[in-house]
Amino acid sequence: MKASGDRVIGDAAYICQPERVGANATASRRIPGMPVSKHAASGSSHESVEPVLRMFQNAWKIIRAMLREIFDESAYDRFLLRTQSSRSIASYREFAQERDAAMLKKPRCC
Amino acid sequence: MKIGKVLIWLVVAAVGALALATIAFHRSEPINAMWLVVAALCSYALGYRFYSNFVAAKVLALDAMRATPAERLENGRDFVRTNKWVVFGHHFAAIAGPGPLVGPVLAAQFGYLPGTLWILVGAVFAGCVQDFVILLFSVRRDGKSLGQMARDEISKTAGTVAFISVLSILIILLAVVALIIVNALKDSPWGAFTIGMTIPIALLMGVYLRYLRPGRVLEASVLGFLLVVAAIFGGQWVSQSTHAAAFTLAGSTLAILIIAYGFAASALPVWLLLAPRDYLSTFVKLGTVAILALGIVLVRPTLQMPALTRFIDGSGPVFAGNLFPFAFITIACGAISGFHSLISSGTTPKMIASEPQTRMVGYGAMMAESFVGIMAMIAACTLQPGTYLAVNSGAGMVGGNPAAAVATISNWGFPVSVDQMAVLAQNVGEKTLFFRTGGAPAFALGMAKIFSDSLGGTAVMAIWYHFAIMFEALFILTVLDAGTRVARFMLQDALGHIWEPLGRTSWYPSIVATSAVTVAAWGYFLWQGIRDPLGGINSLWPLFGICNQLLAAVALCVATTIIVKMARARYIWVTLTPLCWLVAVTFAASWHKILDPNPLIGLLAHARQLAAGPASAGLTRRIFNDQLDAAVCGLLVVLVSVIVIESATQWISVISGRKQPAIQEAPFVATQYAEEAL
Repeated sequence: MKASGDRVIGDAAYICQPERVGANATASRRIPGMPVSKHAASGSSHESVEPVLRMFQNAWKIIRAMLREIFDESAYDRFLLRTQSSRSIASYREFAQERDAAMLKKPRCC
Repeated sequence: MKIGKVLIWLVVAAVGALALATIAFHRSEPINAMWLVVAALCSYALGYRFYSNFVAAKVLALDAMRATPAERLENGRDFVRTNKWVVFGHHFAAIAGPGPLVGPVLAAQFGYLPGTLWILVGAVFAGCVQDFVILLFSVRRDGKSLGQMARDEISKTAGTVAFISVLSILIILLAVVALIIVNALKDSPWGAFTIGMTIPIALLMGVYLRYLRPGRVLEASVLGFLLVVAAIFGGQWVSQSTHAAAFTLAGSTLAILIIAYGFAASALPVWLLLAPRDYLSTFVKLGTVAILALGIVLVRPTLQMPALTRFIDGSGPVFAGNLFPFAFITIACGAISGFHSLISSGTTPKMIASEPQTRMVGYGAMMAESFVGIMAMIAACTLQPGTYLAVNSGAGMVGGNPAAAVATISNWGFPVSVDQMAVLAQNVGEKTLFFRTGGAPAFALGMAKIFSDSLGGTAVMAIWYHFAIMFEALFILTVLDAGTRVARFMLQDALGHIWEPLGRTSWYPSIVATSAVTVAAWGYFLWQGIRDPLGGINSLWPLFGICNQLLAAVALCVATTIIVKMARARYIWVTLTPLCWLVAVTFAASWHKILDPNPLIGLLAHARQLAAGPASAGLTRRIFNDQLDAAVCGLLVVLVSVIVIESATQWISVISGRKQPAIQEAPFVATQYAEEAL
């Protein structure tokens, strides 16, 4: 079941589980949360600006991946991938039940 | 190293030394907060580049070719190879709580110098090292917890003691943070309304996440944040309306409400309240810490607090006790916190992709936490000392009413007047700021001052103040409900050995019973703090600091034992030195808290003073409370002594060759990601 309008797991898989997507874009093994920039050097007239843009782009990707991990969005996407299910109320309930056990043991520092 | 790099590091060292010298020796006039920022950044840079590198290479011998549990045991659930920056953020979000904000604010009564130096030295040589080595050792043991490592590497007794220490620290911690929130919200309709509203907001987020937009946590967090900001403005309206009386709550009423909340949060399903609040508080925490750093750099405030105050002699009104050992137990999380070892041996080791990353995550995240402590110190010290003391001192320490309090504080050489305090209270939308012990209101005042100086001026100071209170209260409540659940789980785990059904985390009678026991335990200490004429913080915060640092001593015992067993005994000083320091500090503090003849410090002396004084209502209970606190303190010291002795016996046996070291590491497996490692 696939909720309409939902970007199910493609992007998350790209971030979290590159090996499992089987995407030929990931010939080399990549660490989750560290996607390879899609911008190849283009040789355009903006060559001097491009490295800076790329740096910001990479920084943003890392921040986004960090936030998604902290906020369990990546964990939910991994769950969807693992259970071969799609984003839905039912699957989120299952995921939340699974996370409950982890939350029970998860300390938060003072 | 190339000569250019050598020069750069020499410049960093010189600038850091200059900043530290300015902080330490400049006495004639107030200094700018940027000196603290520069000293901190240079210290961290040098510590990370050289000391952590030394520990990584020589002591721990990090091996990039060794597969981590995230690779070997990968299951897409707990064990997941994750980018180092992502793990860094995850780890930092878990270790950063109200501790590094409150501790430095309280310790600022000694002046900015002692606390700042302890935060920097403690973090670089102790706290960061502890987090780093425990993380690495847990990684090499398939993500085992601190208790399991203590049992495997030292002895079964050590494992049991670690378990009791963790449970004790949780109970005391929960009582202390609850007390802080009560002191911040009492007689404050604005604050009470705003914080009260975070409960329905969290419930709404829970429903949003589960039914409306499943799994869209960031979306829900942004929505929750906007609603909380709306609640801050709503609180201002409430405080000026006829509804204000309904939200003007006494300390005892707030305590009852918080105890009831703690029970409900522990017994309700996680998705409904706990998880959404956790997300919301993390969202606010990360954003506010970043904004505070930016605000300090933009405003570059001047520190009004002197480098050292007269209270280093132990006569402080915020909490009684000499600079040594009390400054070092008051500031825990900013310098070294035993609690971090639980997180370093919890979820984080299961996400590490390669051993060398433990350096950045373990050592680096603690540096970031330490910097939060520096920011808190700056926020507290930007206040006029008289104001700081009037806010932070208990009525029992400076006088029972505002006029007596300002007279006492002014006589100490820190001028402050009732009118000044009234204007300040009006500016922040409060009726009074006197006797708001606990550190949170003082920190909120400092933060509001920095924020309003950079944006909006005095006109919006009240909004910033309540934003800061909301920010602190939000993650204090998160610690409260997550901590109650963790303590309840540990209790169920232990009771399950006595009667199996009690150990079932899905059996509701057991959930309700153990939640009630846990809440009653911290609720008792909270109630004791509320009724304490000295403000509660005077006895509870040192007790919490002692518990926390004793847990750090347990972690360092485990780390030292493993280092010895790894045949790296010549580097034993890396963990043994901070361990010796912590043992000295905590044992000295415990001795003072139990046996010091000064009734303001010694619990038993205070009990004797009460017994000798005139009879009054609740006298017997107050005497019992003092004796109970002393007994808890003494018990923890005995327990940690057992671990230290057991560990030392192991070290001597191994070093002298009487015993073959049996290390409990997971066997070496070569990583499949060798090309990344190279």
